[in-house]
Formats: sequence, structure tokens, C-alpha cells
Amino acid sequence: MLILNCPYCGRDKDETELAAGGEAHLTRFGPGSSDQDFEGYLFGRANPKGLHFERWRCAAGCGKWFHAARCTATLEVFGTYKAQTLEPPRVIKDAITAKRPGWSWRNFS
Amino acid sequence: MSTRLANHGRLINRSKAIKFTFNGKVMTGFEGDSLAASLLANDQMLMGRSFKYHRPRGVVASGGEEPNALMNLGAEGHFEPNARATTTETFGGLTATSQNHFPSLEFDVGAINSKLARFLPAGFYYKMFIHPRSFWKHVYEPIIRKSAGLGKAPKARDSDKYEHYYHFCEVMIVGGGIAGLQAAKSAAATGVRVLLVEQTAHWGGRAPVDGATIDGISAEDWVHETVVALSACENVVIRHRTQGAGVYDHGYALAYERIADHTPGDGRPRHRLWRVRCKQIITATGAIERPLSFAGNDIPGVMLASAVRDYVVNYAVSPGDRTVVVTNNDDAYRTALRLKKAGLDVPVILDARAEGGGVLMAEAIAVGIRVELGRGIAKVIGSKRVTGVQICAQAGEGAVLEEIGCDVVAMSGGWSPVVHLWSHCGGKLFWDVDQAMFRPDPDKPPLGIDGAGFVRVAGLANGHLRSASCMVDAAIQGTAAAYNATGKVKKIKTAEAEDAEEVPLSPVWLMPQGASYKLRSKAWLDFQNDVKVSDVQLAAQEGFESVEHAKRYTTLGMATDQGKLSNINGLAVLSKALNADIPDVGTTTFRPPYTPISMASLAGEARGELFQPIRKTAMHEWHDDHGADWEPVGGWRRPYAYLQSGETTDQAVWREVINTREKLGLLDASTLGKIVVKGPDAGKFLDMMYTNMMSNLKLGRCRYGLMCSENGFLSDDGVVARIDDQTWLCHTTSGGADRIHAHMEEWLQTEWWDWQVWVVNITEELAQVAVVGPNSRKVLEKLGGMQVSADALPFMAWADGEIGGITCRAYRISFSGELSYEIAVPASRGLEFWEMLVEAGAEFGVMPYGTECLHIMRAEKGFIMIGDETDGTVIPQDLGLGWAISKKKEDFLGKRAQQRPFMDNPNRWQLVGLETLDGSVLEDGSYAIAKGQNANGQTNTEGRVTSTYHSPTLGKGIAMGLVHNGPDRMGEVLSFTKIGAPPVKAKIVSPVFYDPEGEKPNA
Amino acid sequence: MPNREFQGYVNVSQIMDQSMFTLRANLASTKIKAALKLAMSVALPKPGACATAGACTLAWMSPDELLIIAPSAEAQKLYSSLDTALSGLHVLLEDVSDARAKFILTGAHVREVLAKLAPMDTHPAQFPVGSFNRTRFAQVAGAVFMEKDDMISLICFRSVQDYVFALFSAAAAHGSEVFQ
Repeated sequence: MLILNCPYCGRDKDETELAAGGEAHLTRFGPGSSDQDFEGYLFGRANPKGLHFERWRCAAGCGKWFHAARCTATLEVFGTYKAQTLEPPRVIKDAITAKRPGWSWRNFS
Repeated sequence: MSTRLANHGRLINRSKAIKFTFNGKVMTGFEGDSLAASLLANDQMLMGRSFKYHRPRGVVASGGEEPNALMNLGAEGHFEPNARATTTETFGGLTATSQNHFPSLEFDVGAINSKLARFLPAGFYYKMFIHPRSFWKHVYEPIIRKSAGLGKAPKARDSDKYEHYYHFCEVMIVGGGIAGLQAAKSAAATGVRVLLVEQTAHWGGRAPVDGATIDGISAEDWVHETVVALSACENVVIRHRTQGAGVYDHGYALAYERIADHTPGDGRPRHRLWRVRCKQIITATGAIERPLSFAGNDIPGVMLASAVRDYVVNYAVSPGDRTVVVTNNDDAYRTALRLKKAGLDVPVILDARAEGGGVLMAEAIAVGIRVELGRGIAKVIGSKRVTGVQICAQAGEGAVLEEIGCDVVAMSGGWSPVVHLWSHCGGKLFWDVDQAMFRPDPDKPPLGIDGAGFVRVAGLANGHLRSASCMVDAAIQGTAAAYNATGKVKKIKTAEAEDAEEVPLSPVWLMPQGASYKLRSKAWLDFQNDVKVSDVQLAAQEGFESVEHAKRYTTLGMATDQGKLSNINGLAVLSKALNADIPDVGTTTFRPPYTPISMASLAGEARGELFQPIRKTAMHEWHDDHGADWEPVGGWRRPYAYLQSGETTDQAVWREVINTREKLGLLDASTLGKIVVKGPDAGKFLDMMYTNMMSNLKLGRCRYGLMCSENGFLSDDGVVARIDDQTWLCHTTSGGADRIHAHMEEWLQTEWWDWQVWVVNITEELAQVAVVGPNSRKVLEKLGGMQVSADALPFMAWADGEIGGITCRAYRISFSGELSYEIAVPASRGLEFWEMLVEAGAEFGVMPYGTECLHIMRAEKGFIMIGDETDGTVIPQDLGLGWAISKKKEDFLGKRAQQRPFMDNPNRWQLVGLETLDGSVLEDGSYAIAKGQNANGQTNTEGRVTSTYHSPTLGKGIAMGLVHNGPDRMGEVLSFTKIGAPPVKAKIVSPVFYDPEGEKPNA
Repeated sequence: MPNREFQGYVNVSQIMDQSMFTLRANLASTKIKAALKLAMSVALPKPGACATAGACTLAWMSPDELLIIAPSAEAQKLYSSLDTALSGLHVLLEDVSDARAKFILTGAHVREVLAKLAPMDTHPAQFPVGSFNRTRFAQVAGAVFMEKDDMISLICFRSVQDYVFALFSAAAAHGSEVFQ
């Protein structure tokens, strides 16, 4: 039963008020993309034990999608941030580095 | 015999005698009694039968760890099985019956199993019932099922009320003993919000029974003062009869409050489940005394030493006249001293330690109790009640040195901290060799949201057996928890406690240590599931080396008590048999809840009328009053059909179809999703959402649209209307409104956040009525207010206006193939509008129709239905809907996926109509049989039925289905499966069965 | 439908004479702020709060959504002035009066009754008067406005109003007090 802070309404939301949306920072590949790129976009999901970037929606709340950086093993939450970004903001990266020096995830580190 | 003593009794009120019944016999107890205490006071030591061997069992403990004294309580709507007599408070009118016996507790035919025990060792079931294989299903399983389970399943609906309560605080403390109280005081001093829960009805835990002195006053008085002080703190909530049942991620905890178990029918909820969110949890849950493993340790009258003490001190109940105490530690001497003080006989204390104990032993000797060192029990004598013990040397193999008559054996094998709550969320343990116990490892706590530990353990549960260190620890943990939760610090004076010095225990895992097989096979570890020392040894011998495997093989710790008494002894025996150290063998996993909690408390308010929310349209009550046979759709209830008197459902549906086709039908279409999409980029956005073009839809016009997922599969459909330059209104399926609204928001928020589009779901703002049939225009014209003629409002157009004085938006669309309008009005006027149509439509033969009529009419027209023709693997091209897929658009959701080779392939199962040769109705979901078999030896298939109905319009069965290359195989006859009958032949035809030219809706 | 009421240790009653509008707009935009100020003479509510202007309430639903609640008698006028003030801006204003139902809880223990059904901290320090929160009531979405210390407004969807009324009535029934 996680608690995540919604960066839009600012409230700590109970897991029962949230909806999980899978991996964050996917790049959409549409018509004209290669089979490999499209397959990766549609089906290739990371499932790490450890640091992960996820999409969540403040479903029984302000309705906004946000991103969470958290550890799937310890459930530690490094931070949540608004979804209108192509990569995690500096402050989130720094928070992760403080706890997990030398981390990397997909193309981020 | 067991009986009530003349004086004292800490918890009972002798002025309030109460009557209750046990197995139909009326008995008397006192207010404040536990049921176990009341039964003992009535000389009822025999309280149950064990699960496997049906051995007679008496109460062994005095708290939640009790394995034996399980009762059926109450009757009818208040019935509850497997209630522990030790944690049930006696009240006037309580009815209890014992379990797992036939015909009676005293004489149980199942006890024959005990005689066969030699043939029923661990793993017996696994080994025995596997051969011959064919016997399992019809012979073994029914027999085993019949004998499985303790207690009876309730038959009547639970008539009590239950509820949840969301509680937020900074520090939660579980356990209201002296450690929990001190921790609460220390934490509360900082001003943080503290919740303190205690599972019993009393504060103080063991200290008042054991007689410690705190701050110069008795533990009893200190506890009272502290509870009064805490109750007065605004930042503290204290709650007894409330068990800390489970600890979960991120400071979530469940507490189970038994409000009215002891006051049934007083109007209060029976149980309340506290769903707690806190920053820090302190578990001050104390410890549980371990039994000793000697032959006959399950005979009624063999009890935990602390329990014997509890019954005497708390309830003034003597479990027996002559009590032999057997121990490996100092604490059990307290029991002997208490018994002596109460005037009862203690013929001997058997101390397994060669050197014996400390000051408590000296005190016992001083009051004249015989103490034997290095001695143990070879065997307990008795069957339904202890009659004596045979004494032996602990170091030997069980040669009997002496036999002593007694009716109670008080045993103590040391104490195991209650580490359950610490462990629920991942806290690790270490083995404390000196105290022979698993203790929470403070370096490996359960981790919280910030990656730091959020659970702490205080007092006895943390391995502090003596009161003084217990209080110091509790104060430290309380202060630290408050600091970790809020950063606040305020130190207060820690209460100083004193009790008798003790010398360390000496671990005893088997008594005597070299006990023969015969003795070991009568030395019980798990009383409820009948697991003996010899069973665990057999499991080890047969290769079950992991503690988790040995647990499941022997069922050790798998009974309703979850091994609270048996686990440590069992794994010590296992480690010895494996020649491994105890910490290397490890414990089994502790899972919530700590003790069983009621299913109803988990459901909370979600029962009966509140089990599930039912969404109702504005016309719901009218439908209900007019014979609606309800169907659940997307959380709504929609009328499946309106039954008139004497009609079957089928007859009603067919009548509705014919009436709508020939005259006039009304459908409550309010449940259809209605989503407004507006903005400079709305057209561009909808072109991405829909497979067809929406940006070029003309003002005032409607277009049927399809939505696909990025996988390319058809996800939803509906009619889109262009409202103004920047505004579209999208209809979705009834079940799809919330999903599609969320889908649109998701893409706008997470992919195209720079597009200027707003979306609002106005589904519930409007009541919508489909007015359908050749007379539909007549009734609308009769009500008047706006032009609905073919010219003014042509097919696939909409207009705002007023009908019968009600503001509305009228759409000229048809899902039935008839002349049809859908009229949307404000929901608050929906019922009024509906009733107006019913009244005005009388002369035109109006009838309401339900969802099944709708389904048949759309199937007659070959219109697909999301969820029937689609199942998440179907693309629009499969359904002959290629015309609705834009070739011009560069992109839309699903376009790239539909270009994948398997999708972009004509060689797929595609939509056709199916007509049986004999006019019968095909089975829903039946398969078209193809030649040959697949690699698994299953018959090949080449299609399946997706919708199938009796068409009252055509007087025969019609169906739609997906058939391999179907549209190219018109006229071909296929065979379709039918359960329990020969295949049915059906011909491939066009899916449009009715009005193929489509003239009617254009009328 | 009549105003229904349940009398328990907290009273639950339905309020029928209120209109509601949903406004989707970028609330950070100065133009939007100015337009609303013009139409309603009130500053925008802060996140997690409501602002009141006379008999009207503006509730902060999300960074780009407001719920405007007004007495039905004033609704038409308010809608027109909003529509005028916001014209030309990228907004979506929809009448949702009939899509929602409103209940009020009144009594000393309103926070306690709410805490039985909504997973939120109702303590006055965490949810002071003037606060607004979107959450769930048992199994359905709902919104809460802390109007006064002894009065809470609840908003839910129209279709589940019977459920929500029954839910709060059961929670507020005499005998089920959590704290005496």
C-alpha cells in the first residue's frame, strides 16, 4: 500500500486513489518506424529489481498523470514529478544519486 | 478439578454473575471473565478435540496464542466458528459449543485416529492417496474434504454491522503493556499524534500479574495512572480490544477493533477495521511462553506456566488442586509461588537446569516447595485429564525415577518475543543465543518510503525480559519514533521498574534430551494440527530440509493459531535433526493478520445494499416500476427487457423488437458516454484518437467513429457530432465512457501536452432517449418545439432545440436500422421527458425496450458491438470496417500496429453473417470445425460465433461470427460446435439481415 | 426528487438547489485569472482549497480545472458572465449541475464520519476549514469541501447518489461513534 505525492495537487495519495500506468519515458513510434523500434515501444518494458521510473495517475484525485522514481525492491520513493517532460528533472536525478550513487536506467544516469 | 477460588481475581466483578451455555449446559461466570476462565471455573478443562487425531484437548494458554480451546459461538446471523475461548469475553447469554467431534466432546468416534497415529505420520496423505491415480477425484478427495476444516461454516447471513476507519498519526504503538505505555508517553511528550492499541480489554500486559514495581508503586497502579494520563492527552488516541493485525508498506497498518463482541445487539458495529497510516510503528507486543516437548504434553491439564498464573491472578480460577511445575527458566517459579499463595498445592518444581535458578528459586524453597534440579518429565499420565507425571533425568533417555500425582502440569520452555508485526513488512531477525530466542535485528528493519526503517520494537518483544530494561528500551524507542516521524525531540523521565533478579534459562527442545521414539511420538509440537517431535524428525529424514518445506509437509504451524506455540520448538527440533544451527534453519514467514480477524471487518461497509455501487440513470425508478429485468453494464443497471405479466423474458424481448420495428420503441440511452472535446487542436487530436477523419466533420453533422489502441485492436466506437468550430461531442459505449475519457486525458497529458485541447466528460449531465421506429417522428412532432422532419433534421445530423418544453439536443442516428432519434435532455428532466414520450406515444403504440432488443436489432442490421464482435484481438479490418479507416491520415492510434505483417494480412478471421440450415440459434462462442487436428491433438477450428440471437423479425436464428477468409466464402456451409450435441450446420451469409438497402433510417 | 435527510450522530442531507460548472482552463494564465476576477470578483483558489464569492464557491479541481458552485437562482447569470469574460480564451465551460449530487454533513463529528469512508487525513491541522480534496468515498470518486468545523460538503456523480447517501447514512448512524 504505497503512498505517492501527486506533484499537481500536492497531496499524499493512498495507493487506492492512484492508478498505475507502467514504465515512464516511453518514446512513441508511429507509422514509418522500424519494426524493431515499434516492437520496443509497444512491448519492451523494463522490469528492474531496484530503481524504476513509473507512470501513475492521481485517479481518485486531480486526475493528472505523474511520474515516480522509486525502488521496486525496497519501495523507497526518490521523488515524483510532472509527466510533461522527456526525462527526469535534475532534482530527481540528484535525489537518486544521493541514495544510489552510480545509478543508471535506460539512457538516464 | 478446576474451580473458582473464594477471593481475589484482578479482572472479574464478583457482584455481576452471568449465565452462559457450553454445549447446551448452563454455566455461570463473572463479568470480566474470559470464556476459558469461565469454563475452568465450571470444571470444564476439556474444551476441544484436535484436528487430525481427535485427541481430547484442554486450554493450554490464556491469550491469542491458544491452539486448543476453539469454539463455535452464537447462532444464526451471529454465528462464528473457531473463536478462541481465551480471547472471548464471557457475557450473559453467550452460547458456545466445542468443535471437531462426533457425537460429543466427551465421546468422539474420530478419536480412533489417535489409535492409528502410528499409521498416520507426517506426509501420510501425500503418500497414501496418490495410488491408484483414478481414486483421487471420486474416492479420496470427497472423504478428505469431509474431514477437513475445524468448526462449521456459517450458513446464515451475518446480521451484524462492520465498518472501516481511516486513521492518520505520526506514531502507532501496538501493545498496551508497560512497554507500550511507556513508549506512548515518550512519543506523545513531543506533541506528535500517537495511536496506542491493545488487543485485550485490559492495559498493562503481564506486569500487573507478575508483580513488578514501577516508580515505587505497583505495576497495576502505574498502569492505571499512565492510562489516565494518556487518555487526557489531545494528541493521543488509546484503544483497547484493538489488535494491531498487520503492518504493510509505507506505514500502513491494520488494527482490528472488537467493539461489540461482548455486547451483541447493543446497536454498535461489531468490529471496526482501522486502516492506519503513520510514519513510525512501535511494536511492543511482548512475548509468548514456549511449551516444553515431553510425552503427553497435550493431555488436558498441561498448560503454560504463565497461563496457570493468569487464571489464578486475573480470574481467581484454579486450574487444579495439585500443580507440578516444569521449567528451564526462573519465570515459572512465579507460578509456583502464586499457586502456593492461593493455598494450592505444588508438589514439585522440576527444573531442567542442573544448577537451577536464582532468587525466585530460593523463595520457592523458602516457602517449602520441593525443587528438583536437572529433572524433567518422562511422561504425563492421564487421558482426558492429567492424573500424574513420571519424573526422569533431563540428561537421560526417560528412565522413570518417580511418579507424582497431580492434575495440572505448568510448563515453561522460555519466552519467544512476538516478532510478527516486525516481520510482516520485511524486518529481519537474529538468534539471541543467551536468551534462546529470535529477536528483531535493529540493523535490518522494514523500510519505509524514505528508505529508512519505519518499524521499531520495544520492551519484551525486543528481547528485554526484565522490567527495568524493558522500560528503558520503551522510552528510547518512543522518543526515537517521534523524532524520526517529525524531527521533534522532548525527553521525559523514564519510569523505573524493579522485579526479581533472574538467571539465564537453559534451552530445552526435547524432554528428556534422549527421549525414545515412543516418547517422541507422544511429544506434541503443534497441538491443533497434531504435529509431534517424531513427525518433524521424519520430515528431516525424508529430505525436507527447508523450514518452509518441513512446515508444509508436516503442517506444523499451519493451523488457525499459525504456530504461535509450536514454531520455535519445531524448528529447533528440525535444526537438531539436520545437525544445523537454529539461525541457519531460520523461521517460516510471518504473514498478517497476527491472529485471525473477521472476514466481515475486511469487507467493512461493503455488504448488502452497499456491496457495490450501482449507477442509476434518471429514469431508473421508472424502469424498476415497469417490469425491468436488470442487466449490469459498466457499473450501471440497464433494463434487459420490460416484463409484462405472464411473459417470459424471451417473449418480452421479441415483443419489444416487433413493436419497435413496426411502431415505436423507447430506449434509455443515458448510459452512453458523452465527452466534449474542445480547442484549437481538437480536430487534430480527434484525428489521432479515431481511425477515421473527424477534423473534417461538418458543423451540425454526425459521424460513426472507431477507436483503436496502439496495438491496433478495436477498443471503442460511437457517434461523433461536430458542435462548433472548435468543439466535438464524442459518444462512447456505455461501459467505455470513463475509460475513453481517461484514454483521451492520458494522451493529452503525457504525449501531446502542448496541444490546446480540453476534454470534459458530461455523460451524467444528460439523460438520453432513443426514440425508435416508424412512428418516432410522429411522437416528436406531436410534442412539438423543434423541426424533426427529414429535411430539417436529416439522417446523421443533429440540432439543438426544445421538445415538449424541454431544452434538448436531437441526433438523427440509428443503431436499430429504423427511423430513429436520440434526444439528450438535462438529467434532472430525464424522467419528465421519458414520461412525456410514453404518454404522447400511447396512440402510436409506444413501448420501452431493453438492451436485448437493442442487441437483436443491431445484429439484424449487422452492426458490431464492442465486447461481442471485439475481444481485444480484433482489428476493424476484420469486421468489414475498413471504410472507417482513413487512408489519408498519416497517423492515428493503432495505424502503425495495423501495418504489422500479421495484421496487414487478408488471411484472417473476418466478420460474416451465419444462418443455420434448420433455423435454430447457434450457441454463443461456438467454433466452426475445420479439418484435421492441431499439434495438441485438438480439432482445428476456422471461425467462431460472436453474436447469436433468435430474430423475431425474420423468425429464425441469426448470428454473426468471425470466419477464416469469411467474406470470400459466401454460401459455404460450416459445422459449429454445440455442447453435448452434434455440430450444427450454418451457411455463411451477409451480416446484414434486415433492410440491406438501408432505406428505413433515411425515411 | 425531495431533499433527503438522515439524522444520526452526524446529519446527512442532500442539497438540490445548487448549480455547478466545470471550467477547464490554464489556471496559471494571467488572462484566465483576470477574466475570472472580472466575472466573479474573486481570486482563484489555491491548490487543495476553495474560494468563496458571495454564495458561490470555486473549488480547485486540478491545475487546469475549477468547479464552480452557485445557487441555482444565480446560475444562469453567472454562466453568462463567465462565458462573456472568458470569450476568446482557450477554455471549456460546461454545465455539470445535473451530473453531480451534493450532500452536506453537519454536526460536531463530521470529520470522523468522513474518515470512515475516505482515505484522507481529516485532522483540522491537515484539512482546515476552507480545504477541498478529491478522493474516493468507499468505492466511488468524490470531492470534499470543509465548509465549517461542523459542516462538510460532499460532491459525487449523480448516478451514484443513492449509494453515497446510504454510505454516509450508515457511517453516521447512532451507535457507530468512534470517539464518544
